[in-house]
Amino acid sequence: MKTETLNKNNQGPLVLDDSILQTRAAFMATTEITDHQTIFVGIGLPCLVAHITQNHTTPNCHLVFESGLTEVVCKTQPLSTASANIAKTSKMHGSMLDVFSMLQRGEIDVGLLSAAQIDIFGNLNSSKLTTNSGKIISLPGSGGAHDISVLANKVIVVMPADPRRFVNNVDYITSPNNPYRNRKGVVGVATPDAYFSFETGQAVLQKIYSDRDAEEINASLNWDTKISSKLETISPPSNELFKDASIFLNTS
Amino acid sequence: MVNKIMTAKQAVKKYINNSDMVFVGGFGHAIPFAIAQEIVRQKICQLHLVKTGADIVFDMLVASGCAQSLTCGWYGNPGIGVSYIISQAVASGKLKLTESTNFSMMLRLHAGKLGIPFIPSPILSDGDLADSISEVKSIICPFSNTKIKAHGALNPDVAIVHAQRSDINGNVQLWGSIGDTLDGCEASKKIICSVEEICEQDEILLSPHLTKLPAHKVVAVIKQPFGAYPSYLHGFYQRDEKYYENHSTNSKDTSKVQEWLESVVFRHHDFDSYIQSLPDELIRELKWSGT
Repeated sequence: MKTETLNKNNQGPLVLDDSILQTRAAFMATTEITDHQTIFVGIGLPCLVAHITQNHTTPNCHLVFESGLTEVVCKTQPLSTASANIAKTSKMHGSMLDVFSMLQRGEIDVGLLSAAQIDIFGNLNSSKLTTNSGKIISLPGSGGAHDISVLANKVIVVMPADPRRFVNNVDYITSPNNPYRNRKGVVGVATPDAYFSFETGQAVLQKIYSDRDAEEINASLNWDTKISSKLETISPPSNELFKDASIFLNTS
Repeated sequence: MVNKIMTAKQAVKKYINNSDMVFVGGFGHAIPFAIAQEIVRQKICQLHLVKTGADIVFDMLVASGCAQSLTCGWYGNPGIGVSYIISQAVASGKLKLTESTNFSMMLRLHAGKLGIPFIPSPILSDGDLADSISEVKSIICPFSNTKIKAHGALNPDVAIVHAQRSDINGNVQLWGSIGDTLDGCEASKKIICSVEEICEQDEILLSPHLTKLPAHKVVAVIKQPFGAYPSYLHGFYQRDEKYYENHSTNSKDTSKVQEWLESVVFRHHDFDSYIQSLPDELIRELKWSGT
C-alpha cells in the first residue's frame, strides 16, 4: 500500500510505503514510554511499538498480552494475542484473568491500542461505523480495548493518519476516555507525522516530526485541534530502525 | 474409576442438547474444531455460545444454524479481520448477538467458576456498551458507597475444549497459551474434551502440575489427533495460516460458506476422515518447531 503525505517544505507529496509510515507512527508512540514500564500490548500497530521499545528505545520493558502471555519477547509480528510465535518467546503462560487482574490492580503502566476511530476527547470506536449513506459496518468489537482504556495507568493509541478515522465525535464509544480512579486514560495518539495529547481534555498537537509542518499536519485530519504552545520536535527514526521494523513487519 | 473414552459422535450425542449454553475453549490456540464440527454434523440447534474472543469456529457454528445467540467480547478472524458470517447473521435476525468486553466475559466466567452470583468491577460503567448488557448491572459498593458494575455469573451447560493429553479418566493436561479456557471450563456444568494423546495414569502422576481440568467434571475424553486444526496446539502443530486467509475471502460469499461447511464437515463421517483428506505435505509443514 502506498500513501501520500505532505513534506515540511510543501514540495509536493512524498510517497512513503506502508512499513515506513507504520514505523514512524510506532516510533512516535515510543517517545511516551520509559524504560522498565509494564506494557499491555494490543494487536496491530501496538506490536510494532512493543518491538521497537524492546529492540531500540526502552529494552527493559515488560510486555503482556491479553491471552495471558507474559514477559514476551516480541521478535516477530504476532497475528493475534495468542499466536504461536509469541507463545514460544513468552516466559510465563498465564491466563486471561491473570493479565486483566494486573490491569485492574493498576500494575500496567501503559496500554497500547489502535482503533477504527478516535475523537478529539480520546474516545475510541472499535465496534461499528456509520457510512455517509447511513449504512452500519460492523467491526469485531472491543475485545480488551474497553478494559485497557479504563484500567491501564495510561493508554497510548497508535493509528495511521487517515482523516476518516480522526473525528470530533466517534460513531460509537467502545472505549470511553473515562478512566478508573486516578488513572490517566487515553493520554495521546501517535500517527506517522505527529503525536496529539489529550491531557488537557481535548486533542492538542504536542509533538511533530522534524520533517513535517505542524500547521499542515494539524489541518490534514478531520478534527478540530490546536497546536500546543509547547510543541516538541522529534527526529524521525534512524535508517537502522526502519530496516529492523521492516523485517519485523514481514515476519509473523 | 470410570473410563470416559468415547468418540466425538458419542460425546456430542450424549452430552450436548438443543438450547444448551456452550462455552467454547481455546483462545487463538487449541480451538476445539473437531468437537465443533461434530456439533454441526449432528445439527444440534438453538445453542447459546459464550466466549471472550470468538474465533472462526464460531463462524462455523453460526453458518450451520447451530447457534441462536452469541455473547462475546470480540468476534472475527484473528489477525485477519471481521466475521462476515456473524455480521450477516445478526443483520438478518438469525443470530442474537450481545457484545461485551473480554474482561467482563472473563469476570462472568470466573464468577461462575467461584460459584458466586457476580463480580464487581468498574469496567462497563461508561461508553455505549455500558447499558446494552442485561447481565451487567449497576450496584452500590458497600465499602466505598460508590457505583460499580456487577458482572453476572455465567454457568454454561457444557464446555468443549481441546488439549494435549489426558488419561482415560479425564485428568486433562494442557499447556501453552491459556486465555479463558480454564475459567470457562470450570464455570461449566460439564466438560467434553478432545486430546491429541491418551496417556497412562503413571505419566499423569509424573507431571500433575500440568493437569488443568479436574476429572470429576470431564464427562467425555475423545482421542482426536489434530483436533484443534486449523488452529494450533502448543508443542504439536502450527496454525494453518492459509486456511484462515482463505476463510476471510470465501466467507463473504454465502454460496462459498455452504461449500466450506460441505467440504470440511458434511463430506466426512468424522474428523479423522476430514484430516485424512488433507495433503500430507500440509500436515508435514504444520509440524511444530522450536520450543
